[in-house]
Amino acid sequence: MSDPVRVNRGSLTDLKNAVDDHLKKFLTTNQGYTENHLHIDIKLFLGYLSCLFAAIGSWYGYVHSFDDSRTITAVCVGAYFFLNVILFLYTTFVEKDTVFVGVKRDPVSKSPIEILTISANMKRYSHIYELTFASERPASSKASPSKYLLESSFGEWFDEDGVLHEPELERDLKDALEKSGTKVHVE
Amino acid sequence: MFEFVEMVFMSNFIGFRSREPTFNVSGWQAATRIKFPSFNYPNYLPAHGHPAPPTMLAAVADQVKAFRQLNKRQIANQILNFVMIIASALMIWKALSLATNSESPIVVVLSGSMEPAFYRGDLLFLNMPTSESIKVGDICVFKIPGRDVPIVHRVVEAGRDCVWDIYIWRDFLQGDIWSAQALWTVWMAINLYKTGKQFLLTKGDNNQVDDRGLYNQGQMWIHRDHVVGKGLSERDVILTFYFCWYAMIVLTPLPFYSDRFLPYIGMVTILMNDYPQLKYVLLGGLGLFVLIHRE
Repeated sequence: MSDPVRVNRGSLTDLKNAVDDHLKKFLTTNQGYTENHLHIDIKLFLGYLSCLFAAIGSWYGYVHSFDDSRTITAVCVGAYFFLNVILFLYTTFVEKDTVFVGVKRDPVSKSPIEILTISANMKRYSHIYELTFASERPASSKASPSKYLLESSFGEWFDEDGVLHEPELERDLKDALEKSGTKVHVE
Repeated sequence: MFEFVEMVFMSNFIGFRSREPTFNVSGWQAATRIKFPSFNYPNYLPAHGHPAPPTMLAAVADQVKAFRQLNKRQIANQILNFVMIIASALMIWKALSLATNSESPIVVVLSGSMEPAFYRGDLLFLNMPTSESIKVGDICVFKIPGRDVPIVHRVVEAGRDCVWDIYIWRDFLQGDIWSAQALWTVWMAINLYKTGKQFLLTKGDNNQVDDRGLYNQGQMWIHRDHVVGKGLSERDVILTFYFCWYAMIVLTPLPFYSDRFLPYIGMVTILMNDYPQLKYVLLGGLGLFVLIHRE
């Protein structure tokens, strides 16, 4: 039995992060989904690449005199800002508010049965957390994924000390998975 | 900072479920029915009733524990956030440096030798125009070769090296102006003008003597090559302020004494110069905060 997860119950960011982390753990270990890390991998790649350009530009400017290093510094500064703009556009328009993307594969043929996308929405200073479960089946002919909105207060899952009550959260998640058209795997 | 307001507001507003006592019981503990509280509920807390006060130490401990439970990608993300802050600051500085064409576009006045124009601790904005020549009365930041620290003083004389004057006059007075030596001297002087090598003499407003005492041994003038930046002229000031309009909005509470510089902000830099350990303390604390804190 792992340590109970305890967060600062006054901080909405901590509450959201705790729910998201447990959601990922639950779906990957209990429900048989494999997490798709595409979004975070692309963000890490773009971020580290821009920092690499920044490092090269700064190092070159430090070693050589100002006049000699002008072109390289300009190129690196331009690349840094360009990559950051791309990163911002990716986060805003491609990733949007996605929290989890998971694939459930057929254990025998390894073809994807279902692609589950969970996006989270939280208004400022509001204790209500909205999770949208979008389930898409490549095999079936339906074009748009079937969605279900799980709307709940953080007070349903956390107690007065900020400890996360996993059975309650998992019960709500299972309920949402069923209603979004997934066959829930019961342990 | 608003997080703390949010914390106080939210903790009184959300209706959290009541606390259930959770016990890590196993084996002989269950058999003997002795209930041991989990590590989250130390003995000095009341069993039920008032919740634990949100102390800073508890909050930090929670953050550190949450940080340790992150997987590889999340840790990489935290490190990236930390590195991005440093990289952003560095790149903005480099961009400003390229835009103003000077190595160090913002400098701090370290001494009081330019009073009453600039005081110790003032910030100075510089640029380095490639085509304009430096005129008498301009404020220049220059580095004497062989020394690290740049000096901010005013130009009191600009022109040719007087050594060449002496040579030309000597040959002329000797009545030998058409001699090969005199012609060669004149030719050298003309070439010096053509190469645009400007020779400058500087002096601090508050100093009694000019800077020849500060220059290297035997050096009578400094060259334009030694100048790393020029104080902005009136026209440049107006253009720069239009350019820095957005940045100025952030700094508006500070009083402006003149249209050329921001007073006393550079005191932080001077403090960090005088006490170098302060740099590491500040950087270390800030870095740790960014690494641990998850947004």
